[in-house]
Amino acid sequence: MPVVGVSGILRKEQEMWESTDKSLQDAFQDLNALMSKAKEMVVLAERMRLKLLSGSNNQTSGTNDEDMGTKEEMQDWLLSVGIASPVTKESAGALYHQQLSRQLADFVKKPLEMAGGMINLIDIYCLFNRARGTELISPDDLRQACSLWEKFDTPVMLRKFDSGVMVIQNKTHSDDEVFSRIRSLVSKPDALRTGISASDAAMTLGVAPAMAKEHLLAAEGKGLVCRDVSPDGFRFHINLFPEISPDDRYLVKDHGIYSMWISAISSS
Amino acid sequence: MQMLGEFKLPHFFNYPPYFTLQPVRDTREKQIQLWKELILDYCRTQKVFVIGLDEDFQLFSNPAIERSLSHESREAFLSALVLEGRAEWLDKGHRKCLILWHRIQDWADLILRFVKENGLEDSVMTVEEIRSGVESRGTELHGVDRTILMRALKLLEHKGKLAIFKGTSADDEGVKFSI
Repeated sequence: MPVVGVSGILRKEQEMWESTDKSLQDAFQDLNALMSKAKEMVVLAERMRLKLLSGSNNQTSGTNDEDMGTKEEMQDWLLSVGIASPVTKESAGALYHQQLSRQLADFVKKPLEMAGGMINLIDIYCLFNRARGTELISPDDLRQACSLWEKFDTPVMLRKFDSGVMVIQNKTHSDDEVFSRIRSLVSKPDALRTGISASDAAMTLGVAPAMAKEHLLAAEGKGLVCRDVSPDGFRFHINLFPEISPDDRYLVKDHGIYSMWISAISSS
Repeated sequence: MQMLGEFKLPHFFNYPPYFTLQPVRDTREKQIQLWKELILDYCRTQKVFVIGLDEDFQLFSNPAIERSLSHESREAFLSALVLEGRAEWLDKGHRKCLILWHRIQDWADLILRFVKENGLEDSVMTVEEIRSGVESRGTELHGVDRTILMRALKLLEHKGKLAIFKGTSADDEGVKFSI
């Protein structure tokens, strides 16, 4: 066998190709094996799914407690590996969402306290999933879990503002309390002169600026404050319109907020 | 108190939210009411008959607080006046607005009084003389907007108090009173 010269080189190349080819074939053998196993797993999962589905359809056909327990375990287990529950998630009875709901109610207590009693739903989504690490929940799961809170006794609730922003807040949260804090804030001499921004309110109320803005908009809706939109930004002032007399626009009552405002702006 | 020409400005002219169109209904209604009255009174004292939305109208901005009414707000407040019959849009694009700080009927009454006070019951005058002649000095008719004057005259003509005719000169009309 020639091992030198051109033919030698050619033969070496040939040998190399042949051995590469063989190892590729071996590798694909393993993949093929994996594929066929995976196929088996899918068939198995399907079978289980169908069994559970048929099982839940004839609840009254003498299934005993033990069977029920196993079935629920099975559902949870399927869900945790990412296979959708055969009992549709839309049904309020889905155990998955019930458990999630309880878990969530416990989880939100601490962040809620730190956020001053109100927290954006998007922030909870991030915090919760970060805490879970794996088995992340979808935004839809979160929303469903929150809506289930109505059904059982929790100290927290989901709330949607006119602007569309959704937050989680304590049931004991009082809008009026927030409004009176806002009123004191906008009545201070500096605020009378320049108004307040959402960031200013955020610092005083101890909440996130986005939450502060929602509170200010709500206060505006109640007629407590008015907006001032300019190149300087979006600010709120105490609402003086009700203080202006419709019959005499030059009239200023003594001791009212209007006269306080006039003093405040004159002193600058 | 701040002045704008001879017009005394109210304190709320320095209130920044006054220059932002308010979204909350009750607040906005009050705001619109205040602007309507301010516009009418200012135009009456300063004898302003037409407001151009794209022009610098002093009443619509306050440099002391660095605030100005946006185009949208100006249109909103003037439209409110139009709705009340105290103003009219002069063009479809809502760029010029005729301000009726006296209604046309009021102007008509002023013309009648002017005629009686000057003993002009059966005489003839040009339209221009009514608004800039010697007799008009010291009265509100002096310098009145021509469009408004013609409308008032036409109203009186309709009531048979006078007749409008084309004058000898090509560009002025005459009025024969028959009060």
